[in-house]
Amino acid sequence: MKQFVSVGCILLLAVGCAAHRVGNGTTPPAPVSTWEQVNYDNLQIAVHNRAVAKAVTAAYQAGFLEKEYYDVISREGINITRIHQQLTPLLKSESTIKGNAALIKSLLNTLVASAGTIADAAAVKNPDTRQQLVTEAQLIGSLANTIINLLQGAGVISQRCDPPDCQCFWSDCVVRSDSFVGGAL
Amino acid sequence: MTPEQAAKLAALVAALAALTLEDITTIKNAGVLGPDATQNIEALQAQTASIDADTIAAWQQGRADAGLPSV
Repeated sequence: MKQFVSVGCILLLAVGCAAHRVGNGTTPPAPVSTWEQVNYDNLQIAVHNRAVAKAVTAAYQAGFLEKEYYDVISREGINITRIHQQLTPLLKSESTIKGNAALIKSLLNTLVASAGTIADAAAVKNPDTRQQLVTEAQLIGSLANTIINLLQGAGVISQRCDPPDCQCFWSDCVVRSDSFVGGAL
Repeated sequence: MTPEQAAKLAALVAALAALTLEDITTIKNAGVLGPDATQNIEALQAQTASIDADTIAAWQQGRADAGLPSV
């Protein structure tokens, strides 16, 4: 059982990759645009976020999570999803993205910071379930960071975040990850 | 671990693994793009919105089943 869940996690990590375009057989397909890749990564955030909702709910219903923690985590999960619902329409076109760059940056940084609080994994009793939740939370944070990098590469975002949320080294600024759930549980 | 706890754990692990495989399929299929970038983005946007709506519903149903108020 433990091996099966672990294989599932590895497969999930391997899938979080680039979108690709199908060719017509005669000419090479056009490269995937930054805006398509951003929306594909954004969809992956939604998928992993939904997986967290189902996993945490299943953990509670199976008796592996205390009710008070389910209350806190589900509130955070709903809040994060509502933030994501604000973000998605802002990514619908190149002009919309460029016109809302500051708001997009703020929402993505919030997702990165909140990803670490989704799975308060110390509250989950079962080690396999705990690791599954940590993996999902890390993937959400990683995907949000990928979108930030893509938009930086396209010149839409000049800096990933602003102090005091940031740790900056010269022009490279990253969101502080003080509360990020890592491997030490 | 008692037999009852083992059965519960097996059911939970099976549920988590099944969800992961379904999500992998969703991600994999969504990553295969057609020739029109605008249509691709519209499709990705629609699917993302649908998934987020599912997520909110899942959380709210879970809270209702637990006797917690909706938020």
